[in-house]
Amino acid sequence: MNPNVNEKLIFEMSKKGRSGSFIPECTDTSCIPSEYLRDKPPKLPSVPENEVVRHFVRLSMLNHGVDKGTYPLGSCTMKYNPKVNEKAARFKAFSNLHPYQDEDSVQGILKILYELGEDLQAISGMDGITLQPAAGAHGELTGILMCRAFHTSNGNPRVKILVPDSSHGTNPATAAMCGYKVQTLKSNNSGTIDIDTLNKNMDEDVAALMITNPNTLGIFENEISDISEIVHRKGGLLYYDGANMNAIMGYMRPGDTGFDMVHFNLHKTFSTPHGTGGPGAGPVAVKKHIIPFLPYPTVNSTGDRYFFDYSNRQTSIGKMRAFYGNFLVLLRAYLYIRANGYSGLKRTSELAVLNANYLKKKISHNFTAPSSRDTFHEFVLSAQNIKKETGVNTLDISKRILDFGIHAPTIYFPLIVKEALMVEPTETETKENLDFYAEIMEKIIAEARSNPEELHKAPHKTPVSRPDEVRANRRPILKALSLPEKED
Amino acid sequence: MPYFDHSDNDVKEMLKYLGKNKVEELFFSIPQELVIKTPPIITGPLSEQELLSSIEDTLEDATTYKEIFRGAGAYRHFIPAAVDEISSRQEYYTAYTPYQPEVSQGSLQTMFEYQTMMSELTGLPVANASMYDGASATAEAALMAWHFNRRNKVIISGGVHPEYLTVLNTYLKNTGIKIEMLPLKEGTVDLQKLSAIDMSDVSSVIIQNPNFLGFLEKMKDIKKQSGNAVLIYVTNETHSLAVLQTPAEAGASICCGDAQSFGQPLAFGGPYLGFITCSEEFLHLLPGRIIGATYDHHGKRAFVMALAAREQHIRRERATSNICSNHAMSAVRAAVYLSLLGTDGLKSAALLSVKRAHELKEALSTLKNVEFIEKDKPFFNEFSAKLKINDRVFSESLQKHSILGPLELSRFNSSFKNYYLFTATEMNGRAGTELLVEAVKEASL
Repeated sequence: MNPNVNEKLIFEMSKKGRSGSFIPECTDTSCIPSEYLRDKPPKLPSVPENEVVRHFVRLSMLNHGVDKGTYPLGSCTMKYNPKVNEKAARFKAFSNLHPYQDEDSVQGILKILYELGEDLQAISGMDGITLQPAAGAHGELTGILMCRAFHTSNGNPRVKILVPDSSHGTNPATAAMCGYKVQTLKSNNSGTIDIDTLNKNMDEDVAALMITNPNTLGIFENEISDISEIVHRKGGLLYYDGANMNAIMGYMRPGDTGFDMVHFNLHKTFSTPHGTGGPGAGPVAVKKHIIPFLPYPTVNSTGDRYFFDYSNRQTSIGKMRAFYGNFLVLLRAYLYIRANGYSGLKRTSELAVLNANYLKKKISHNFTAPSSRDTFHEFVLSAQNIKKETGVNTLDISKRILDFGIHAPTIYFPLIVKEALMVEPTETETKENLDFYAEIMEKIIAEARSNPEELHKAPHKTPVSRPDEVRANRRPILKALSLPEKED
Repeated sequence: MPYFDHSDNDVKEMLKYLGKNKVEELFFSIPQELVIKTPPIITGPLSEQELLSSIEDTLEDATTYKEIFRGAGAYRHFIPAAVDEISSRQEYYTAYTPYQPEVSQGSLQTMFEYQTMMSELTGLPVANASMYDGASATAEAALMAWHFNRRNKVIISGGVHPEYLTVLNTYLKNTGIKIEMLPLKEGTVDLQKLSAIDMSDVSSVIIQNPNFLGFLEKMKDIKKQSGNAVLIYVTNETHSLAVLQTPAEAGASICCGDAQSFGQPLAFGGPYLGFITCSEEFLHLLPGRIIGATYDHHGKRAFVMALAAREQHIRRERATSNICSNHAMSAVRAAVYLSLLGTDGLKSAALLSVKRAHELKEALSTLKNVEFIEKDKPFFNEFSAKLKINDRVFSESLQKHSILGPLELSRFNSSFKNYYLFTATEMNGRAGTELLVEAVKEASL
């Protein structure tokens, strides 16, 4: 592929009369009165199958994915997606099932959903679960809606949600969607929740505290028992954002440390593919006192029969989506858990933490660290020192990394760290890959000192370089212009 | 741990480098009293062979049908082989949200093409890069309208999918927005009742077309009666967009729904493909990722995530939605599906579905035990009827022929006992139709 030539838009490849034969031709509109019909047909591409395939294959080759190389995107857990799960998810027997089939005809499917729910509860130490949410943020919304329903049932929905200043943006956005005010807690010098600050802000107006543990700096909130005590003493709930679950399996269960609700990102910890942005799945597990508020239906079992359980309909928050959940995603996570067993999941977290610590020690001497505390599955460094010394910033560094066939870390997050690089190698990287990453980092830092100009222009070997985002925002072009006219 | 492990020697070297003796030491900041003492019991570890054989055993307890006459928001259409082939490519499915556009041009351009196709189909200029599903997209569309005009009432047609209505209720519960249901009259929106509503405090009017019972709504008339409330057009069978008056032509400023019909398998309800398109005035209220075209610093065309300042990772509690991960892979499938079929192919699929449904209705109309709801109103590929049948006899004969029959509407409302929603698509052949009609006849009371 010539890197200087764009892949055409599919619309630019379109010519009248070119099309495949997938469905028997039908042009009979006689069943529908003409006043209901559209004036002009939509201008979809007219391209033969082989060219369509080539187009999307060429496009796909412009992407970096986990199967191509290291992808240490902090907070996203870009681990290997096992192929056996992809194979199973494509079984016709799964793909052809209608969601409104009778329960008797899908006992095997309900069994999978039920057992996945049981496994996730066991892993997190909770008592009930919904598999409906389609993503982590959707799980958060489910959780905070349940939190509100819980407080409302006690006579007062309360008014505020607390989040640390290091939290994911989805946490405060979720709280706002549920009609809550957001109070942000300033972290202490070691990057964790400040107990005094929490004490000062925690009162009977607070519905819940939302945290991840380890937090977004990769640091374990080791005062979690105190945090839980403070929140619960005032009648608040503790919400666990499961984005960082890959750090603690086999060592700690949120349910044992005071959390009332937990969401899982199955596309992170449980290896389901990220799919260029989704679909994921964000099941939410809860303690007993939250079960009445779970979205209906849940999946239940009598021992020899599985069924959809609508018994909490009167108290439930309702439904979060049509049907029951992203079944093909849930299936993959189910298989992943069984392939690993508990011992495998524990080993997963151990190696994820080992890899992160190893890589951190290999590269951190070039940067400043926002906290001296031990980190878990990911770590955050600041390039502020490099910027001051050479003018090369985090963006420059991340762009240059791309030239080496590997992916950049998450950058400029968490917001409390200036020039942040957030690195999460995951457990599925070899020592050689980590050594290579460290080597590249050394090389880039040396370049920053010797030839900073080159870094401002990086990357050099990718299909495009530094697209102008300001222009994209000021003059939004959100669809292909001048589509070819379709001739009738 | 079946998919990856370090060699013992690597672990030793890495620990040594870290000045540790054992991996457990890396977890010492977890207070001892919180560390798991008794490991919970879950199945596994299983080898790949055991895993596959266990799943195959489980599948014996799942019935797939040769003929499906059930839809209600989930439709079986033909999916060209190339759709599965492209969506199996690791370059797509093992990538994530295109935070680094330089190594994500494939995803970005595909999404841009998808947005263009959705815009073409709905006639509205702006499309986002996907939502979760049709129900949650509808709820988000109602929130867009609310952010736009800050009026506290939503009118929703009784012809909207009942699960969509439930989800709307869930999403809007704590916003102070009141949801008012507009019951159907003779199967479609009651225009007279709609015209009697004072629209001055109505944020949006939400109409599904074709509606849940399969009928076509008079969208332009509905628009006329909606004053300056935002008209939200919810699609049902999304193939209808290829044939019916576009949401834009009808006067809707937001269109949303589930594009499952564009290349997504039934898959027991998910993942599907929520979408929203809208007019330009809603651009900054549109939730989710939006892909835009621009140029790189060499002047080459490039694609990026545009207008990110709307989104939660920047705006936090001031964002209009919390959505982060979307259903991008489903959008990739839709882009490939629509590229393969093209305008004519999509129209053929849509019109064949329409034809099959009308043939089925025609054949049923010869039976004495079938009573249609509004037998003369135009419909798309679904229609409803009251059947006077013996349920057991009916289901046994369907089972015998591997047919998934029409949906009992009493599932959603007990007053609909004996009412059924029939669906047909291009996948239903004449033979299947005959068997279904025969089954209805045989089960006659």
